[in-house]
Amino acid sequence: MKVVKNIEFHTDAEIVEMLKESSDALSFLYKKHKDYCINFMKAMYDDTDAIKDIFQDALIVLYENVNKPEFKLSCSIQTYLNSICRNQVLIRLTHSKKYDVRSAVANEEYLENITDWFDDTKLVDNERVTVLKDVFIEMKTSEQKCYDILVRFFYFNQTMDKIAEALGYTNADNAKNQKYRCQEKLKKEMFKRLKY
Amino acid sequence: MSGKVEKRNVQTFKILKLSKEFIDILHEYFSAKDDLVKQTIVSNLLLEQKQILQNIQECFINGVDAVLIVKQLQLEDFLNDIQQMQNSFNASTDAIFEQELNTAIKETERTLLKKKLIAIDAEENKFDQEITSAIIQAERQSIKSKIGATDTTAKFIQFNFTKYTKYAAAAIVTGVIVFSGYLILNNKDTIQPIAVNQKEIPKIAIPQKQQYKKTITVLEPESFGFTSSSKDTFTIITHIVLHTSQIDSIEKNIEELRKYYAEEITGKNNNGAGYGPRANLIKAQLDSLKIELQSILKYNTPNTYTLNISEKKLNIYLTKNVATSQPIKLDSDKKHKLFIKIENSFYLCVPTTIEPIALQTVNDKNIIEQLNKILFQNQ
Repeated sequence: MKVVKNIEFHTDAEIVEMLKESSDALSFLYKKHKDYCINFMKAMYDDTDAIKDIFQDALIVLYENVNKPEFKLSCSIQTYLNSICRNQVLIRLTHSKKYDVRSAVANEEYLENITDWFDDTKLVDNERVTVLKDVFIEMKTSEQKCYDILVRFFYFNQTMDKIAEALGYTNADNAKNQKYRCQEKLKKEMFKRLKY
Repeated sequence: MSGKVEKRNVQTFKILKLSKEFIDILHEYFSAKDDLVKQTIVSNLLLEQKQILQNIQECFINGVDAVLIVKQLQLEDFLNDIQQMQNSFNASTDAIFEQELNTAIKETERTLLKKKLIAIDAEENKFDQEITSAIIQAERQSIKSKIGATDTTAKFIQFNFTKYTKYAAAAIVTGVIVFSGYLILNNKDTIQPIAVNQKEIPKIAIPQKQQYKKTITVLEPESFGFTSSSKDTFTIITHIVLHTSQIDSIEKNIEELRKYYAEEITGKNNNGAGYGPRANLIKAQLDSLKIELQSILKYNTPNTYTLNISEKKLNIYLTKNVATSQPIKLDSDKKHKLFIKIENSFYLCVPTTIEPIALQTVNDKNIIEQLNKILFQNQ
């Protein structure tokens, strides 16, 4: 009989692998690392709400990055999160000119070379994106298969081969055709709502 | 442009003629990648021209073939232009659309994940509030109970776990009220002294199952020729399993103690205590109770048994204490089979592990007859 370990007994490397399969492990990571990260940031930054926000975003950054093929976690999850959080706090403090390091933080708690954050270079901001978001959320309930294929391609940056295997398509080309059809559906609906 | 423009939909256009100038504007529009450029172009058009542009665009969006478009719009002279416009439109929108879709999906997913994490916080905050309410109510109830409670000295019959929990809580509260200046334990990293007159938290016991034990000889057919002194003896222990309501009560009390412990370590009770000796005691009690309960549940299924031949021990788990006969061996070779009569039925017992198995009723009339005969011979 296969023995299923409680998630608490998994190593960081194992949890990273679990994150690649699903976001369920995020809840566990959130509860496990929240207090430490927040206390860590409190040493530098006053704003409790902002600190919580940073930590939540840091966890999502971790989640997005583990799903990138080139990503490799070279430290503990705690250290990684501390590093991201610290970097974000420093950025905000630099903007607000409220730099106030209350206490020295030991170097082993963070790594200075880790400055990961959301990769927003290709993001656009316009009315069509707003409409697309609404249509996409609706697609989650009305066309689950389209939703899955598009999330895997655009959010998790999975290859068409992997998508085909995961969703049961016979080959990558079939998956690609389905993706194209789903995109066209979204496009039509977007134009319909924009009433150009 | 000439000709009167009538009301139209995608299927029924009536455009008579397009000027070259307007065609050029259309080319420019459908090649533009920037929305601002497009909007500027549109803002300079006449109403009828805007309608034509929109209708053509709608055809492009819906993937209508250029040949069909020109037929519907009666623009056969402009087939090449319409085809070029359609190609330009597709090229300009596809790339932008992918970028926009990429953004939309990323932002949507991030928002959903964030909502999930925020919901975890909300749930934990709600849980803390529930613990606080539960413990405050439990303590108030315990004080009331202490005032009206009568002491019972019965050892095992009807154990009231709630009563002991209330006594414990009442004792703690009483200690706080009576002895002012009592030191509050509020930091798990510091050890604070306990006030001299503070009562320790009493250990709360889970009821043990009633047991009836006897050591008796194994009965065998007279034809075996054994003397009574050479016969095997066996220890038979009848365990009376706990009723479901008792188990539920224990589980409920453990849950209340767990909440009380949570209250203790969060420092939300009236004493303002946190991690400290008292909290550790409660924790130890909680752990011990959980282990005891697990052990009880393992051996709480009625009409089961365990048989250890080497130790010569038979444990039977029943709902009530009933008469059991001496164990009976039918065949001298089959040392590992024992029969026993419980109330009015015979049961076959075979060696088991420590895990109880169900008692197997004997239905064979011949065997029952033999067993009755042996019992009769040994009366």
